[in-house]
Amino acid sequence: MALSKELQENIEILSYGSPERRVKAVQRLGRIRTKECVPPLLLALNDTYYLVRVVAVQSLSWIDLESVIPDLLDRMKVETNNFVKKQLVETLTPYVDKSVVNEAFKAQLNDTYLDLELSELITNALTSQDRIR
Amino acid sequence: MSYLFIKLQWQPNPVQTFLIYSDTVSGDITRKEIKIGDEIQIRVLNKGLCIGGEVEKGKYRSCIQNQMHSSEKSETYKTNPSVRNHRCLLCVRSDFFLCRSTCTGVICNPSSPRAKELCTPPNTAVYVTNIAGIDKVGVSLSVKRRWLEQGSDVATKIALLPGLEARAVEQEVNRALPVKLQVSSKKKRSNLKLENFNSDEFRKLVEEALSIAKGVQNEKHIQGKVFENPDIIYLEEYFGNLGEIPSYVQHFDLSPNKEAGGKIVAIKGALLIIKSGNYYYTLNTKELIGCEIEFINNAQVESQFSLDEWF
Repeated sequence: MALSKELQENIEILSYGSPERRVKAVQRLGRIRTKECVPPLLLALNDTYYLVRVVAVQSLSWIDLESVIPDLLDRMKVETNNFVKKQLVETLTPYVDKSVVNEAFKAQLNDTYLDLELSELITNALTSQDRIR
Repeated sequence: MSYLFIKLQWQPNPVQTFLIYSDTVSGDITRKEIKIGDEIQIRVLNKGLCIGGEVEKGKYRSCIQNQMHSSEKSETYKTNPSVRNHRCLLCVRSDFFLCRSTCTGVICNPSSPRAKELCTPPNTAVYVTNIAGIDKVGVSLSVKRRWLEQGSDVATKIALLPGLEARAVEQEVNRALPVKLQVSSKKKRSNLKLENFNSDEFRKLVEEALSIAKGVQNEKHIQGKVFENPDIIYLEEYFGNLGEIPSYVQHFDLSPNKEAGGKIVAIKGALLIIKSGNYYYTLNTKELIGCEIEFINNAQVESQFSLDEWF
């Protein structure tokens, strides 16, 4: 019961809280780490504040990344903030052998305006077999 | 009797190497020391299994042990297939330092109170290293262990900072200088010895990295320190006699049903350099992670083609 109350509180903060409080809320959802946290975290991927989106990607990866890969790839297509994009690439890199991820990474490389650092990160992900730092 | 290979671990003080593996039935973990001169003979049975998680600093729990600790009880336990970084979802969630693998230095999102406790004080080292002729920048809470684990030839610590800021300096150094964040095993295998290393150039690179670290520290008013004129450490002595190894070394195929073995002549990072008959091979223990193996006698090593067979 306590958990659902905590969940509810954090979901409400995501809707009405200040940017800093929304960041804290997505952090807490990542720490609760239950499947019920996934839908609000997916909504947080569309938050207007970039740090909420960065933390939402991290928190999702701690819960059940595989099932949300399509959502993260959709976000990557429209994301304009390089910090968020970098977080998406870092988080999805362990799945680069999956064709959907592989193709999405390659598509990013076709973007003429892609940041140089991101381009190198994606190229490394596509070519390297040693991805653990 | 089969085991699940978890990792090759370096202990920095005193320098020792261990093979860590778990029993595939009980999940119990064994930490066995290996030394240069030891014989190792293995057969790979299966791959793609979960290696469990690090539940506290340096304390591993196998996938079976994690299942026993979870709320889902069962009569019998079996290691799960891995879904990500050699782990199943249950073991991904049990890792106390999960945030380390997703940190990009933008915002601190600690995955556990222990992770926060470890990472927040200015204890994370930013280092510059040369591995297989390639310059690399990285961060670590246990820097000598990290250098040994990645097979660094030469290395130096440039700063001690809180984890997030250390990561930010790492990223900035990577952006500004020709240094990598990762060096592939293939590159490491192809250049085992410290050859063509220019210490003056490395020193110059370190000075540039120090200046970037100071800039970031001043700009963000970060606690911690950036070192002045840090010592450059040579690590070759810990890896064995790399001089006796020929420039061309074969690589063991560690696919299921393959066997590998011989006498260990050097251990460099995750690579065991093994002599079998007249030939030298590398056994990349990173490729063994998540593999079910058995220790055997007289491994059948696929021998090198003779030169005549090339034509």
